[in-house]
Amino acid sequence: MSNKKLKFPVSLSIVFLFGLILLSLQLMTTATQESSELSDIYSWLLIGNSLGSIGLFVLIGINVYSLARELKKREAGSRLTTRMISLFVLLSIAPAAIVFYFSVQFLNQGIDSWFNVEIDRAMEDALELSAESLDQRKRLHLKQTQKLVKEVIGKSKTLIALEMGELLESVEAAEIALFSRQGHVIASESMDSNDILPLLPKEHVWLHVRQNQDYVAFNPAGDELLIQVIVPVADDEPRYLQVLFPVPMRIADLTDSIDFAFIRYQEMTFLRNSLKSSFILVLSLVLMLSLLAAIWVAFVSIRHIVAPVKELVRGTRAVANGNYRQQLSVVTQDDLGFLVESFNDMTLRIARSQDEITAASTEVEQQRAYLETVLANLTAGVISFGASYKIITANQAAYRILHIPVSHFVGQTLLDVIVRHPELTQLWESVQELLEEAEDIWQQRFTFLGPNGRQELLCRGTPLFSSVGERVGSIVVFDDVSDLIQAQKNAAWGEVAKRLAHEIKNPLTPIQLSAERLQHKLASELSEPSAKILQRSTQTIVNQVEAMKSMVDDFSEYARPSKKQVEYINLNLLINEILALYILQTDIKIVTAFSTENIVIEADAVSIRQVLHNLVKNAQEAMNDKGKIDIKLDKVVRNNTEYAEFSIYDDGCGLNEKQIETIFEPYVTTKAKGTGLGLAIVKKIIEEHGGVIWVDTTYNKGAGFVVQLPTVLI
Amino acid sequence: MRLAVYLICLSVSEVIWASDYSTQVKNIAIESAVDSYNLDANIVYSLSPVAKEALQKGIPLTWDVLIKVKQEGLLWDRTLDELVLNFQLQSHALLNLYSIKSVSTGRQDMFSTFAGALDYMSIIRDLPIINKALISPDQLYYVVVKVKFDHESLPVPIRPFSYFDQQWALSSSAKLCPIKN
Repeated sequence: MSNKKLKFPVSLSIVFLFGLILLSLQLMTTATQESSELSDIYSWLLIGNSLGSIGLFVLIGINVYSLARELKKREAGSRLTTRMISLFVLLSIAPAAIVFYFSVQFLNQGIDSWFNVEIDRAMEDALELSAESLDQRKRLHLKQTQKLVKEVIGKSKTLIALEMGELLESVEAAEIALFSRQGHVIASESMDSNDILPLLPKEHVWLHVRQNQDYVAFNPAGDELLIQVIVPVADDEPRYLQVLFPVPMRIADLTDSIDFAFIRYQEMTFLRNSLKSSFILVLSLVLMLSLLAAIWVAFVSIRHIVAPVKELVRGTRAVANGNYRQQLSVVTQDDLGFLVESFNDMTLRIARSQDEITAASTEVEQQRAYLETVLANLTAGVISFGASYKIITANQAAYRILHIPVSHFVGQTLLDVIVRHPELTQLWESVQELLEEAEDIWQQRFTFLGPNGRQELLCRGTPLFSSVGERVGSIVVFDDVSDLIQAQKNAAWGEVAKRLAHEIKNPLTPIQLSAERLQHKLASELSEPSAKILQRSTQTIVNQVEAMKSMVDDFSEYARPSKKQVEYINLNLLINEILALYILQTDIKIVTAFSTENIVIEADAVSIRQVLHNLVKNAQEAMNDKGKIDIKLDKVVRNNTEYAEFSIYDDGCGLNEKQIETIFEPYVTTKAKGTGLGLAIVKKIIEEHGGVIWVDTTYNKGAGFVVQLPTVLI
Repeated sequence: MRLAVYLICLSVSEVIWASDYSTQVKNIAIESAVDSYNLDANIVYSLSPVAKEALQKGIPLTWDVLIKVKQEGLLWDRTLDELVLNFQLQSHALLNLYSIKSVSTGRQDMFSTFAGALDYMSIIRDLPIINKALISPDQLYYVVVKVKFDHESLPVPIRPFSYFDQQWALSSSAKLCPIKN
């Protein structure tokens, strides 16, 4: 268990960001109030918060895009993240929208409640009252000024200047001044001794009064409010009397107060809709910024929460792909952390189990390989079958014995093999029958005609049972016992020959001698006809005894152990040498096809000569001394051994199947005069030299024999 | 040449940005005085109905008249001098007066009519803009006059919306006048 500290899903930077957003929103809310000093930067705050919203929106957009790509790629944890974020957004937007709706409603109603007809009327009445009050004052001061004008009409400038002070005091004015038509000051007097120059009327005032109209207006002067009255003096030379009347402080204050309140109220009336929009804008911005920030934080937090789940999914996929050593880092100590630890524990156990399985599997594989090696090197053919009699394995010896690649038929039945190799139909059908029927070990001998002639197989088979007694397959082991049987036959014939030599040849000499003695003793004593009969009879006995002796000698020869004197023989030269004896003798055409390279064998030259003579003579006799003999000599490689292959084909009457089976057995002949030992002796010599001879059953124009003898390298 | 291009650009921008209530700078003239060059200009302020209503409701409206003296340069023009006249127009309902206050100087003038107040703001006469000593006879100079309505002086609730409302597009385009030395 890792001892890492618990970490909050929200980092310090996010807290700082939230603080910044809150500060900005607070500043903006404060700036919304007109009186606030922050109102000067209201627009900047608005822009700042808008940019912040856009920034957050972009951030969320990037996160959404990233999540969409993860979803498209079906990345681990993307669907869980989507679900959690969707739920969060839904849960946060729904109440926020409700709050926003009711806030707007409340805002509108609140602002609307500020204004009503009664207040409007009261404000207007107050203003009208104030205006009326001021107007009365204006009218009063106009009348006073007009009275003063009457007093200055017709007076000289000097007199007027002297009376100015009295005039000022008479109307309790702040300042009095007389202007010429050109606007020059003729005379003036002020309550404030510091005022040297009177207030000069503005251009537009002059325009007004020069039209002989009275002018009355308020004129704010610093903190006090003055009423400026200018009345034309209808004299010879037009002059203008300006009197400034101060408005009492109390009235001025009240006027200011009413003016300010009215203006504020009017302003608020004018800004009524703008105020709503402004508050809604701020509210929207606050809500949007808060929501966007919350959603972004939700993205960050949920990714942080989902990270261990993602790791787990990744780890699970790795395990599914066979990586059982997958270990995940434990980043949290919560339930997910416990889950990750459990996962690590599980993968550790699986890895261990996997190691054990691998070790066991390796051992089994080694054993299997060893068994395969043993099977492959067995001289006996072994074929194993499954429960449905389909071939599971076949060793190399099976191919060597049957001359068909049995291993190529793995997964097929023997009946399927028959389709490709019909020559083995009888064999396979019998074996198939035994496989299906036998309940115990069986053994049977089969004979079939292979490419090298007749073959005898000794087959042993057994069904295979599982530990619960269920039949799971069977196995067949077979040996080619053709040579063994042939050897047994040869040995039997040798014994027969030896006994013949012993039992028959021994009495022949006395018989012959007795016959000759009878002839010698009785010829002179018998009459001529009887003597002739005796002579023919004894001669017949002697001839037949000679013939029997000759036959017994042949048998002795066949039965006698060979006395080989081995030497290197150039087979090309030897065959040519022997064929030379036959080429001119008869009408037989001998066609040879020899290998260009010399083929050398190590053998007894006399014996090999006898083999060749016997084979050529056999062919010659089979064609009745007329026809064609094809003789071939080449090198072949069998089982990594180089052989000299000598084959001889005639176009005689050929051999039937029965003859092929017994052609190499002694005393088997198709000729009238033959002893039937020629081919038997040939086979005996060939086998004594480690070779093999067989009837080429593929040749059907006559008889064909193939001889293979091991070559030597010089 | 550059001045011509500048004028064309300004004209184009004026066509694009000008609204029905834009202030117009007219009749600029630079007069040579003893020590300085003086500016005479007429500015026509045309207030939109909304702006007029705001004024009547007591909301002060502020314009800045920006006057720049520029010297043509190879790559860009150099500003030799810059002058800002600001006018804050406000209605006083109780006194039935319009006041024009210079925010920078604090001077306030009262007018009994709206037209009188506008006339006061419209006319610029003999305003010294640059000392003659700063003007070289070999160089080309011109004056840029532009009236900018100060949105930021508006009350907060209306301020952000005024930037996007044609009723509040009360600024003028820049007007140029060469100084003939």
